[in-house]
Amino acid sequence: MNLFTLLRKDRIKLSLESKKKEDVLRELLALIKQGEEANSILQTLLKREELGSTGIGKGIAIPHCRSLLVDKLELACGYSEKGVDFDAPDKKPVHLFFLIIAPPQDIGNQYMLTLGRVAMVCQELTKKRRLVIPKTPEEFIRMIKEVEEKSK
Amino acid sequence: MNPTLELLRALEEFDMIIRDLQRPDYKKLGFAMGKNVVLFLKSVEEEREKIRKKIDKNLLAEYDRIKKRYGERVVVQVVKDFCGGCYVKLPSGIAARCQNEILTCPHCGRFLYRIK
Repeated sequence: MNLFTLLRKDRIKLSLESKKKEDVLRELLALIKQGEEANSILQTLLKREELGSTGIGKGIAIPHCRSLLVDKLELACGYSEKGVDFDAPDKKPVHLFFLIIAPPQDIGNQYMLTLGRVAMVCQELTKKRRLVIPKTPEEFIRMIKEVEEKSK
Repeated sequence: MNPTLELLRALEEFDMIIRDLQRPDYKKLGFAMGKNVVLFLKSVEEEREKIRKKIDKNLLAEYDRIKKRYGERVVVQVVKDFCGGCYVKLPSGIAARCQNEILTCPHCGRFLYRIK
């Protein structure tokens, strides 16, 4: 399974404007769902965050949850130049976000596999001293592809 | 979505969060769960209780009964007029009304919802 094949240009926003946790989750969710359903998923994401931040340190967070309001795994990515306070374990602001929403039951355990794949890619990305994010979604997908191919 | 169904959905999604947190493959991912396991579990229970308190007692009893029987998937999606829990075709009236009403599958008893 490759992460880059799940990425879509229209689900990548490399200029996130939000400064707060809830706002950035809302901004990312807007790439996937709109209106009432987005708000319901936001509440589930916030519940998950209350149990422990999905920030993994080194400027990266992987907010995720299962939701009855999606019928397939949905993935969105975002980058914030200024960073967002996301209660990360290292207390540093988060710049890069991978949002994953999965249905209650997914074929082939895709949710866990995707979470694991994202965590692996993030680990590779943070090996570099500074996180350098491309300017366009196309380049971003290419970067993820390169990271995945190198790690094979 | 019907507000009561929305609450049942929120409860089941929270139960799914708890279920995933306990999975060995999830634990390996290393997301922070707080320093104190006892405090963490307490906060999980408190959050769950907050949601449960908003739900009518009879519906909650029904939710618990279905959960006990099937383990998970208490609130299920209607897919092309089929129950997403037992995959039996639903009567057309039920399939059409489940977005706005609290309806259960006549076959398995699960709560039904439909995505717009």
